[in-house]
Amino acid sequence: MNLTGLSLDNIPPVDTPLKFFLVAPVFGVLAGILLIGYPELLTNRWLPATLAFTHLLTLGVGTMVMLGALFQVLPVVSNRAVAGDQAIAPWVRRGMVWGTLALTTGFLTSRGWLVGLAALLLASSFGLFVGAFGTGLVRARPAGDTTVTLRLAALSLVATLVLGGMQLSLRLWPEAGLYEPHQTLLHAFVGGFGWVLLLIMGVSFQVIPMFHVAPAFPRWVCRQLPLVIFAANAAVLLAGHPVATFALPLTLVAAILYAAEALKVLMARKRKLVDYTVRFWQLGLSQLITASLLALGLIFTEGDAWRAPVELLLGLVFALGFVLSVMLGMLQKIAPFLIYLHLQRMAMANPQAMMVKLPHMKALIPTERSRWQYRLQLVLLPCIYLAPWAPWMAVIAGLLLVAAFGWLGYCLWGAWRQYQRVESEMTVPL
Amino acid sequence: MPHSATNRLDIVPMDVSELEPPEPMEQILARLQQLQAGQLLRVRHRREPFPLYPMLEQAGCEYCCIQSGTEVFLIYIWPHSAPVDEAFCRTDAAEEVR
Repeated sequence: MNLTGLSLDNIPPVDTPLKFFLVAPVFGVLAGILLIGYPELLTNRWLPATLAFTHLLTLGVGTMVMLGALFQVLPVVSNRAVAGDQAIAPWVRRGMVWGTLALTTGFLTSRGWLVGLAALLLASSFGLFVGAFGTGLVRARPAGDTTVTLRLAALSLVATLVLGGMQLSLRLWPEAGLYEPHQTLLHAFVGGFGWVLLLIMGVSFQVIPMFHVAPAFPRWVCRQLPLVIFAANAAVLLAGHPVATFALPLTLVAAILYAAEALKVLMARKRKLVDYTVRFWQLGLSQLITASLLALGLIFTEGDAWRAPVELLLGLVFALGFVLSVMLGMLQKIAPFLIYLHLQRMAMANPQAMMVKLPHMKALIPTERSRWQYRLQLVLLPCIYLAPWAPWMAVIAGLLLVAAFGWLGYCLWGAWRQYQRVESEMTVPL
Repeated sequence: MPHSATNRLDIVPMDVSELEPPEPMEQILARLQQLQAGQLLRVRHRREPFPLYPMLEQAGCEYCCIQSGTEVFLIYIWPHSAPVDEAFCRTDAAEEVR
């Protein structure tokens, strides 16, 4: 009860998460430009340009947004801040920005020193974040379903990073013999179906009921499914091929069950108003089901001729269809909510600020702008899904990527500028 | 002296459990400004509103949150100057959800 253990310091300044969000679209635009320049990159996953494109999206966009959001999620779900958040956030962000740029440039130019620099920057950045966030997660009480799922996601992130480091060892220190070809698939699998999926699941258990006045997820979805996914992924990693043939499908079936239940929860929401965050969730979850079915198909069928483009398609459906859709939807809601929350706090702390009219949450990113973001995503997905078979389609997809991330940047910077304007009005002396 | 279970207190109920963020916060903060002496706000919410708590502190209020089910949270809010006993909130919450 009361205010014991509570402090305003538990909620980080608004620019802590938002600066991560604001920089992410730049990497999306760079990925689009790269795709326009190398349209054949979606025909072979081993091309240097393909590796650069993948990491611009997964590190520069996906992980950037996720890390920024996590600085804010922990105080909201557990009332506990990420340890030293204000001091470490700028360093984590800079490490991610320069590390991602060095890594992708290193892939494109085959310069070992750039890859080495990237490994150093990214390892420092992730080390700082995982240490601080992990401490907060371990201390969070009570450990609700979201907290437990985020802990599993954090462990999966560590596994993904270790596997990623072993990939880089091939370029940096080949005589160490740490690299084996099948690790590439494990790195992608644990990164996608471990770290990212568990993170989205954990966050969705909170934000879908909270923002959309929907019922809580069934207990078995919140409690058992994350554990099943984590245990199955661990079995794939630790036990080798014989167990993997059983554990891999288990993860995929669990992912399908989660997506189906999340769609049911969204259907049961009380307010059925047009909301583009809901539509992005529905689109993303449908793509998670599609990606999982595609992966199951690849596991249980044989044949080589058609396999390579389908594997690329699977990556695109998961990364752009599922993860990007969910992320775009969440940003339409979370960025304005955080800005509104902080302006409200400032208004209450400063009596003269009570005279300043606060912008409504929906004025920060107007519904019309969210609608355009959704339309761009609806056009982008089929174009990029066809690109593994038709490289000319990749040029159109690249243009659409530039447009989609340019639009996202425009929306986020618009909201940020409104925040800065109102903040300056509040601090002008009477 | 804090209000206990035996003291009379005028409870002002409000239900924000079907509102989208940030409406619960807006309505709670607005209702707090209208609170009279001897009144206590009892908010029914579907989740524990952690981001609200620092704002209550800024507004000179204290609170007690009692969970009465997976999606039922009763948050009692009162001015810092007129303390309320936790037992009072627990007794009222037990009656409210009965």
